[in-house]
Formats: sequence, structure tokens, C-alpha cells
Amino acid sequence: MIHIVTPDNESFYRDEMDQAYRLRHQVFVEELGWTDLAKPDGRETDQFDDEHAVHMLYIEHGQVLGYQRMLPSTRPHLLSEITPELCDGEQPVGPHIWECSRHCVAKGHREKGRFATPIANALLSGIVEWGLPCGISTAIIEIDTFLLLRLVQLHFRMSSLGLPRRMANQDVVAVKATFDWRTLERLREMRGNRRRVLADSVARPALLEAA
Amino acid sequence: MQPRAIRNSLDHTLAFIRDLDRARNLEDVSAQVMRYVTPFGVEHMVASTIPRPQSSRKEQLGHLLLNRWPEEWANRYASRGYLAYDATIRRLISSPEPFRWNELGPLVQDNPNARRVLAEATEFNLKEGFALSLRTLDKQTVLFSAGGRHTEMSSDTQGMLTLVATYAIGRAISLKQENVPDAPIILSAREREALQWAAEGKNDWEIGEVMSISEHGADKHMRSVRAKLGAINRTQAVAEAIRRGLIA
Repeated sequence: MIHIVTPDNESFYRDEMDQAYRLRHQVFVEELGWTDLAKPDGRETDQFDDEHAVHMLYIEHGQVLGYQRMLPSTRPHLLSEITPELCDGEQPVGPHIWECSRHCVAKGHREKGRFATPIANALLSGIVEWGLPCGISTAIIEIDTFLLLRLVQLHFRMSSLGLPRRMANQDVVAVKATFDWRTLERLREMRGNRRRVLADSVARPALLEAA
Repeated sequence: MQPRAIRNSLDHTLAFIRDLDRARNLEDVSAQVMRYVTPFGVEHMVASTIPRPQSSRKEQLGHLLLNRWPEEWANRYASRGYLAYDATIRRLISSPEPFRWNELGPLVQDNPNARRVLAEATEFNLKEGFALSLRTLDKQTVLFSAGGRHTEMSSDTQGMLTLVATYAIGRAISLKQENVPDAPIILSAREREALQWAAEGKNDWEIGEVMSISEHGADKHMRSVRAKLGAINRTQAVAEAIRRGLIA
């Protein structure tokens, strides 16, 4: 299930957050070779892992197998600070727009079964289940163009923010992906069940209510 | 391109992509993509999932999503089994990065068959072009290739073309799925009975009990049902069977 970690409940998730930062290091530094992010302690963290970040952890039997981070577009985020060249034109900003970054699934847990990994599906479902009740309808996603088709097929309504650019051996494009209940239905259909992916949080993330 | 020029052509591209939603069939999608690519010198384009190397022309046709490929070339390609030697496909399977056709030259140097396929393609005006691959939700690879006698494609143009191809292929896949009539599925009486119990929430052990067979036997029936319905799990099998009217 997906657990949402914010400052309100992070004290309950010390170990899982430590695993999440290690997972980020394994995937982005060691596998994808984003050496700029390398850290001597093997935990990838950056300036955006602050009190405004909403961490989404896919946890199975205490193991963090998937991760992504949501940042409000109204504050500094990757597209505004790190990769503005992916946006040809005005940056999308608003309380209903959050950026999804560091989306990853642990090695050995991808591409299971007939469909793209259920963990990636759960993470995307997590964005929609979390977003819809608090009025968030749009995610900024920076994605390899090779995988863009999958988001289109999942009924995210997509609008490219710029042209694909070559970055760290990938062709990356920034998109605004708008979602609604149809997206949620589609994700459930692909997953083969209608269960909620979000776990009941240990502590209710107050930040979401404010958003 | 200057930032302003990029923004303008991106806006043009996005408007084009929005229009793809109005396409009613695969033919509409192909026509729309051709309208977009013709100004860059593209005369032919194709998008397809990858058929088996020895597949017939008919089978290869079933994999097509977008088609503006020279027909005579497609027929020759299928009848002579060129799929097995096609450097474009080999290149796209080995790495997902988009590429220009002229980058294939060095890859076919040591392979006369592959060289011949590329050379013969030029007889059908397939001389310069651009190809890319995409990954679908059900883990298939879709190839997209477009070109002509002489193309004008900057790297920015290639980027826009990547976006257009992605959305066009997404639209084509969804239209294709809507239009395929369901092949009839026949469940055995025992399979239907097991599925009916599963629909009522019984697990394999319970199904075995009510049907007086082993848990293993119940599991076997359910596996067969899932395979026939193309379902990844029991819930999906039940939903699909209800949709098809196989169980109540």
C-alpha cells in the first residue's frame, strides 16, 4: 500500500524514510547514473526534502519498494529550479498543481505480470486518490519520452510543457498530466481491483487538508 | 530555434495533438499525422507493434496502428521475410532512443541481408527519415518510422514529432481496442460453476468444497478461466465474465 509521509507523521516512519532515501540513491545514482546526486552515505536527499514535500512510499511487509515525492508548484520545485529548460513558456503554477519527482520502483519489482508493474500503477493511483479529495487535479511530470505513451494510455490528459531534451542519456519531456475519476477508473481497471491504494495514515497529514 | 519560435511551433503541435481526439478511426489518425509531417518532407510513415519474425503479411497487417507505408514495399517486405533483417527494428529493440535512418549505415556494414533491405527501401522513396519506439502498458514495443526522399528535421522537429507520434499511437491503440469485437469465449460447465462461486467471494478451498473437488482442482479451473478471459487475477476474470454475460 501507499503510505503518505509528511512532517505530521514522519516520526512514525523513520525507518521507512531511511529506506526511501536509500532506494532513491540506488535507482537514480547507481542505476541511472545521475552522479550529481551521489551521497557518501548512500541516501539521496536534496533541498526539496523539506517540510513542504509529500512523500509517497509503497511499502510491502516493511520494505519500501516504490517511492515518489510530490512538491507544490507554488514553491520552488524541480521544474522551476533545476530543469527550467524543459518548459518552453510559462511555468504552470497553482494550488491544484503539484510536481511528481523521484518516481521509482525497486529493482526486481518492475514489469511483473502482463502489465506494467503493479507498484508503478499503485504509485500513480496514489497521486489520484490523494489529489482528488483535496482539489489537486494536475501533476507536473518529467518523463522519458519512451514511457510517455503509458501515461496517455492511463487516461491522464497530457499537455507537453516543452520539447523533449536530452538529459543524462534519456530523452526527457515535462508534461502537465491532468487527472479525474476516469483516470482512477482506468488505473483500477488496469490493476484488476478497486481497492484503495492509500493506507490509512498513522497521523492525518494536515498539510493535505490545507492544500 | 529561438525560444519564441519553439513556443509557437509547440503550440501548433499541441493544437494538432488535441485534434487527434476527434479521430474516429485509425485512418483518421494516419491522415492527421500525415498532415503534420508532410511539411518536413515526410512521404511515408508507419506505426506498428512488433510481429514475429516469420509472420505472414496478414499477421503483420494486424500489428499496424498507423499506415502510410508504400504498399508494394510492405508486400515484398513480408513475402521475403525482411523483418528478420530490418536494421531499424534491431536498432529500436536494442535502445529506445529515437534515431535518424542514416545512422543505420554503420550497423549493417557486416550484414549483407540487412544492407539489402535498407537499399531496396530507397527504391520506394524511403531514403531519409526518423524512427522511435514507445512502450505500451501491456509491455509491447511500438515502432514508429517516418521518412521520404528528402526530409528537413531539426532536433526540435524530431522532439515535436516524438510528441505527435506518442499521442497518435495512444489514440490509435484506444480506437483499435474499441473496434475489436470480442472473440467468443467458451467456458466448460465446471469452469463456469467455479467462476460463479468465485464471483460470490469464495476462495479456492471453498469452491473445492462446494464442487466436491480438491482445492487444487478448483485452482486449475480458475487458472483456465483466467487464461481464457485474458484476466490477470480473479477479480478481473469475474468482471470480464459478467461483462460478457458468461455468468450472472
